[in-house]
Amino acid sequence: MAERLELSTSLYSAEAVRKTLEAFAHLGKLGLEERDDAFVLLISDPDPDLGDDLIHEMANHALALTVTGRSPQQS
Amino acid sequence: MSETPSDGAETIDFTFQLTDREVSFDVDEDLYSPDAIYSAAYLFIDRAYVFLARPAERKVRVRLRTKAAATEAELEALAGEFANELLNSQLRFRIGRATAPIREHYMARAFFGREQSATIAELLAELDAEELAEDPLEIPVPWQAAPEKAPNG
Repeated sequence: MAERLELSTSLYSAEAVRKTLEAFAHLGKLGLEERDDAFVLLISDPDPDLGDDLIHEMANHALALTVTGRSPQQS
Repeated sequence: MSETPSDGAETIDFTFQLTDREVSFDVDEDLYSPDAIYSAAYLFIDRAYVFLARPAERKVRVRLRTKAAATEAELEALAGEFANELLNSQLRFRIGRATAPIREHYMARAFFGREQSATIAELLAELDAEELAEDPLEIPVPWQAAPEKAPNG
């Protein structure tokens, strides 16, 4: 059964999600659905050594890339 | 967690939910800028799994999941530390914005100010002029004073 990770498009950048999928591609079968409000990452057959952590590591990776690839906003 | 101080003070409300290895809470974007939220979240990436979600307009839900088993007290402490870092980041960005014109002014002076426009030739000429100027106090300099000749015999 595939696990799902939904990342809000208003909080995570598309570039970060795409790079995250590339970086973790060798650790399981990964898929991506793009909705208006969220990027939905589908993860199946994860590397058994990673257990449940793969999805959380991917979330951290996507967040780190979003933050580092972002320019400061004026608010 | 909610704190309600005595009469007359504003209510301080910091509510979070605890589950196994996870603590989550909502951050109001009317109080904290996206920069501050991202900055605080980034600092916690090495300690926890950080996940951001959008439960409502102008709200960001922060979910922190520890990388190892954690007690309820440890999760509460983690949430508290995140809240402190959030405030710290917000203040840092606010000060940065408030002092930006001063930094820009000094940078502009450093790069384009008249004092800095002197050429190397002008600076060398100025240095030569200083060296050649006579000492008004006529203080002898040891390495310039002529050695006195000792009388013969």
